[in-house]
Formats: sequence, structure tokens, C-alpha cells
Amino acid sequence: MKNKTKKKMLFLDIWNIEDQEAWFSDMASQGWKLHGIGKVTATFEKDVPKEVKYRCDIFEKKENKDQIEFYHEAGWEFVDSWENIHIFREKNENVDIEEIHTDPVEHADRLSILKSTIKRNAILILICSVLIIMLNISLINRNSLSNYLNDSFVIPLVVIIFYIYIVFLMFNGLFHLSSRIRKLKSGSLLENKGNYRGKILRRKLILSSFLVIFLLLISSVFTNITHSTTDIPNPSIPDQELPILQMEDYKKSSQEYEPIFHEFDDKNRTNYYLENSSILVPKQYELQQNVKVAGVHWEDGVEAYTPNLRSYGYVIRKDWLAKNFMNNLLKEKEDIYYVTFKEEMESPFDELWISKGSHSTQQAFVARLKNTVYYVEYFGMKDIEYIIEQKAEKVIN
Amino acid sequence: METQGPPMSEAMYYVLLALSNPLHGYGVMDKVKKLSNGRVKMGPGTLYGILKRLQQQNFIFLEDADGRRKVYQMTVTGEEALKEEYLRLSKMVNDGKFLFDMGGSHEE
Repeated sequence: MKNKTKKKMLFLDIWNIEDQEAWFSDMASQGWKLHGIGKVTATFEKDVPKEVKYRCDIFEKKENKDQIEFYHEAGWEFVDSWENIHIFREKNENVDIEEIHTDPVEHADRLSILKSTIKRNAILILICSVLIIMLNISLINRNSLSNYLNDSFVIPLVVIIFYIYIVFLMFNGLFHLSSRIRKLKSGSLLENKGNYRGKILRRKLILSSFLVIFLLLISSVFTNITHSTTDIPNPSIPDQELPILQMEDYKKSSQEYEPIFHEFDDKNRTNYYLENSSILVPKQYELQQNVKVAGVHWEDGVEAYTPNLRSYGYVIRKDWLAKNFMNNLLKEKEDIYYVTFKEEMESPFDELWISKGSHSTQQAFVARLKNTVYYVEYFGMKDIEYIIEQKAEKVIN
Repeated sequence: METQGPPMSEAMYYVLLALSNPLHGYGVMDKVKKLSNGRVKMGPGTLYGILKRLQQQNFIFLEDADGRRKVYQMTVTGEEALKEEYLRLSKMVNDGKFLFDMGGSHEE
């Protein structure tokens, strides 16, 4: 007949031996006898409820057999080992037997073995964590614009917090163990009273919230991927005033603009208007207009005049974030288009940067007004200054 | 004229006393309890640690006596150390006699 068993996660730090002992004893009093211990789980077997003392001792594995037999004779039954930690329980709960350790200094020596093992692991984990954290910080730094627009800082940030937590747990364990060793060395025995209840609950909460956040993030990444690969064309421009600069703001009313659509452009990349939002930039606007102006030609007088406008607006949570965002935007545009933006001191905006571009017809500007950043690329025959003026008029009034 | 290192701990002293005759591990535990009239109690973990240390100090050694079970025995060095500790302790008791021993009937 096979007894009913159940597995439980080891939510407590395995090196916090007093807590472990108290937990095993409580399980026994609820009728669950410790059967074995794995890397991350403990297995319990259904049994009659008993008050049983559990003790964890630390010794090198190679002395194992002799010592275990010795403990057995003294009334302590061996259950299982986890690395250098060996778990024992009273063979017979009605007979009064000696504690495994009756000498505090001796006991301190045993715990010192555990401490040096943990120290070794802690250093390894610390090095790994520092590397992972640095990698994620560099990820955050690299995706500077994407952090604002696509929340791409979130996953690295969660990873960083997770690893900081792991390192914290490790060092917390070390400090705890050191304080136990100090106590033993000062000559008093441990009380064998672990208080673990709150700890299990807290650990469960923290770990499960990490898990939930990770799952949410991963699923959002997947939906983003599937979303961006589907062929939904960009929405067309609505027939109303937009919160960002549009051609209608500066065109002469007599002129007739005809939007250009390319034949094989199934995603509509030429004339569209998008709105989006992210954690740091709750309002994002994006407009692109490509038109043909009836009866007007480029300066060569041959080709039909086809001006192009790309206009973006970003409302950012805080002014200082907006400043930082703008600097990142400038840097990225300069890197991509090989242009330089020059700051315009006299302007109705808080900050204004203009690029005349490589052609006189290709111009751009970045403007910040408090927590809102505008970016406009213009390809046409008008001066950028004229367009900026229209823009200022539109947003300041 | 050999001077020993630091004085022995109480536990070590009693373990050596117990090993006046060869004993296996658990036997030592029992003997110590009897020798001290139940005053000195030693858990298996503590005793095991002391036995290890005494072996390292070459005060005792392990011998395969009756086949399976290992038996601890005292070495000559161990005997000397025990005697020295005994003398040291009696000297300490003697030194205190003037204060506590008002013509009592103590044996040596």
C-alpha cells in the first residue's frame, strides 16, 4: 500500500534551519511526515498527527554514514539531506532524548561550515546578478526612445528588481546565520523556535507577483508581435483638426491637395494618422501626409509638386522626462539622418531645435512646450521657419 | 617537561575519562552521563565533533574491533593529556580549599 504524499515548495531559506525545523514539526502535527527533500520541494507522507521534533545538522557528506548511524543510536532518525544540511527527527516521540547539539561552541563550528558554503554561493550569485543587472541597465540605456514609446524598459526593470531581491535574500541569510553563530559563541544554545508563518506567506506573495508580472509581460510581448505582423492598414486621416501640425494648418485655402496613395502599399504608409499610448508617454500622435498640389511644380518647373509632412506629438508624464526624451529624440534623428539640429534661442517654445537638412527642401524641427514634445519633418518648398510659426500659433493659442 | 596547550573543555575531559576502556560512539555518551551522575549530558552531534577533534589531536584512535562496529581507544598521548588535566583540576580545587573545605572529609 502506498501512502498518500504531497509536495510542497521550499519557500523558506533552506539555511534558516530553525524555521525549517519548526515547519517540519508543524507539518507532522498536522499529520504530514517529512519523507524527503529535493532541490526546491519537500515531500510529505500522510501519517497520524504527531508532535515530533525535527533537527537539521550540518556536516560534510563524506562522514555521513558513520555519523548518521551514531545519531540513530542516540535516538535521531535520518530523513534526508540537502547538500551539507542533514535532517533528523526523533525516532520515538515519547522517549526523552538529548538534543543533537548540547555545546553551543561546537554547534557554532557546525554552522560556520554552512556559512562558508553560503558565502561561496553568495559570491557566485552576486557576480552573476551584477552581470545580469548591468546587461539590463545597458538594454534600458540603448532603447532610450523605445523606453518612452513602447515601454521597453519594463522587462529589464523587472529583471533588475528580481535579481536585486535574490541578492538581498542571499545576504539576509548570511546575516541571519552570522547572528546565530555569534549567539552560540557567546555560550547560549539556540531556542529551536522558528517563526516562519509570516515568512512563507510573504515569500509566496512576492514570488507569485513576480511570476504574474513576468507572465503578463511575456504575453504582452507576444500580442505585440502578432499585432505588428498582421496586415491592418494604418487608419486614414480623420476630417477634423488634429492635436499636431498638419498640412491644413499652413496651406493656402485656394490650393488643392490631393493625397497620394501607392498602388502596392497595403498598410497605407503614405497618408495616415495614429494615436498610441505608453506608461511614460500616455498620449502619442503620429501623422503622415503625402500630397500632390494641383497646378504647382517643383523649382525645376517640370515635376508636379508633391510635398511631404511627418508630424509627431508626445505628451510625457513629467517636464524633466520630456527634456530627456527630447534629447534622446534629437540624438536618434541625428544618428539616423546624418543631420545636425541647432538650437533656436528665440522661440515661443521652451526649447526649439531646427535642422535644415542636407537638401534645402528637407527640413525638420523638434520643439518642447512644458511636457509636450513635437517633432516635424517637412519636405517641400516652404521655409521651416514659416511652418514653425504656424505650429506655434496652433499649440500656444 | 611538556606543557600542554589550552586547558581542556569539560566535555573533552569527560570523553577521555569515559574512554579509559575502549567504547563505541554511543557507549561514550552513556558512560559520560553515568560518570558525571547525569550532570554532563552530551548530544550525538556535540560528541561526534569532540571525538573528531580528539582524533585530530591524536588523543584517541578508531579501531575496528568486533568487525562492523568501530571502537574508540585512548592513545598514550591522550592518557598523558588526561592525567595532566586531572592534576591541573585538582590543583585548582586544592587552591580553593582554604575557603570552602572546613575540615571536611574529602578523598583524593
